[in-house]
Amino acid sequence: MPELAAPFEEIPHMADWAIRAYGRTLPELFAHAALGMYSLLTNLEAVPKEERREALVEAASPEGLLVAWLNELVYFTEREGLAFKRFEILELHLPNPEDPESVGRLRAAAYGGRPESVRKYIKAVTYHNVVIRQEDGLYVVELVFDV
Amino acid sequence: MAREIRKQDFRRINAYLWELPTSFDPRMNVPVRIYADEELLEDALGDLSVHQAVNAATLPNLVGAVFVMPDVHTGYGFPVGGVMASKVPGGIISPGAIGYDINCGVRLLATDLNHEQIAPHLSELATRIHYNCPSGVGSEGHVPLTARQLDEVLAEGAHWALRHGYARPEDLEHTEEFGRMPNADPDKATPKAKERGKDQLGTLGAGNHFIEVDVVDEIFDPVGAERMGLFEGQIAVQIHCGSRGFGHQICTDYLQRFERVIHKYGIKLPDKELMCAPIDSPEGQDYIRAMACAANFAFCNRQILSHYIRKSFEEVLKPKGIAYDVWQVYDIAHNMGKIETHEIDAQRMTVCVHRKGATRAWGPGSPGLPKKYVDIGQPVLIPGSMGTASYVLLGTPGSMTQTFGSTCHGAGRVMSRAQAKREIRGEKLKAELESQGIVVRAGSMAGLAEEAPRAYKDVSRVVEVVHHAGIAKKVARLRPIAVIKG
Repeated sequence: MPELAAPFEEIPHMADWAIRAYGRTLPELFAHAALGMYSLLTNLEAVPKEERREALVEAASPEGLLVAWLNELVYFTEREGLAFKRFEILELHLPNPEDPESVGRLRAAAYGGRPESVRKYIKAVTYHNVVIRQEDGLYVVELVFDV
Repeated sequence: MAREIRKQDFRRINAYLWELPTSFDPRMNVPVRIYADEELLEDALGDLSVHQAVNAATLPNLVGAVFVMPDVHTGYGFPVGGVMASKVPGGIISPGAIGYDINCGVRLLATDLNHEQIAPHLSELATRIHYNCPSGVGSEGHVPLTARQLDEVLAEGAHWALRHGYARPEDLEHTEEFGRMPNADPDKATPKAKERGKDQLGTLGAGNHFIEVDVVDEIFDPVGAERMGLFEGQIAVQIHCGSRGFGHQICTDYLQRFERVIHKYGIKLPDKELMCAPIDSPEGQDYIRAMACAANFAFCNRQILSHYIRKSFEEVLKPKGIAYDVWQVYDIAHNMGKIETHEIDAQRMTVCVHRKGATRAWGPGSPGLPKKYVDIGQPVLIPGSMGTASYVLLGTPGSMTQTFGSTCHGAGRVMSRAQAKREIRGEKLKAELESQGIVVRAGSMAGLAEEAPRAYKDVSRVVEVVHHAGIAKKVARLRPIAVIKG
């Protein structure tokens, strides 16, 4: 396994917020992307873990699965005022890149609670230049959030 | 990263218009035309906005050019400050080239009060508006809706507000599309969008959304100003907000749906955020009807905020025996896709005009303008950055022939939110604004810092470009005296 220096970092974007997330595996990349998103939103140390929300999404690409899942979390956050700090990828089936009709599937659980205060609300996770790539044995993705 | 774009790659058409020809990139189907002076062109080349316009120019069945306004900045997929038009039928519709906040827009209310009359009561008025118009993402309004009522709002727009006592008939007359997009179908709005929207009617939201109390401080076009009822020293109010969580969820859900079917239509995308579908496809048609629902939500939302602004004036001024009136000058959208007819290369064509961070600016005589403005053109409302001037303009014959009846929408960012947050302290900024006589009511100091004036271009420079380029005409300048935001 390659070494992971940091799960994610914030990167500049002119009008919105953006992060770069890293993972040794795709499930870890997905979990780190979600962790990065919620680290922008609030101080996660102060967030409890008693609430669990499970989401199931389908999409035509790995990037589509990631964006769709994060948007599910944004929805929980806006409707219920929850922030999440631990993520469990329960099922990840990637679409077959040779078959344009094929659809991938992601089922994941998120654990969190109500944050004491919110630094930044995220209104949507965008598809802007979302490409999951491999660098030095790590999976890397950059995500732009509409705020 | 695509190839670097340099100033010398452009052909200068005139002092305020530059063209990047299709020969720049063999994938481009139409040229990119940028409205800018030399300095604003350098600004545009300083971020990814022109690259994003080039990407958009590769989409199929576009007509004319992809236009870039002088307030442009990097968006996601399509730049904020971009305009493109696709053929109808045969062209595409792209939710990312309309924006997440569908029908984000600006409303201008005017009063018969002057600055001296309001000055002693300004602080109280700002506090009442801040209380009556809930702000912050996820904030809930005074008008919670049942599922059936929400569907009515989505179908009726501001007309729902009129039926329920939140509007005057003339408010609707002076709203783009008269406050209702006719092709809305609530069955095409997704359940999640409805869930996010049902408690958010009458709320301002967060980010760059605001309510501002202004003074009209200069008139450039006395005829246009008189028609709109504007005079020097007058108190006016601007509302900047959109379709809240509802519109964001519509965009999100349709991007996901489009991603799963785009292969069927053989469209190659340079960026997933430019995800699109043929206008005539079932997916494209459903999006148009859902987008219209979001537009109607936004029209109704700004109408209900107007009601609560009127209520705030009443709460403050009535007990003091001060008589006044608050009327609506106009209400415009600056994130929208519209099916319109334009003359392009000497041919009348039906097109889907995508305006993202760009304002419709129809010239005199255009069908669809209210009677009051039909001979002078459509009022165009351009808010500046917080604490700086805003402008009222009119659409022109030039905007109709050059830009599918479109112009700029604001100042445009030059500093990222992250940089603004690092360099500017909200508390200090609030003190600076207050030292200039501007009352500030803000929910978040960090949010205030991100919207600091120096994070934006100079709106006056932007407005000079569109005025001299002939794609809008200056009428009046507004100066803020109170800012209310989430």
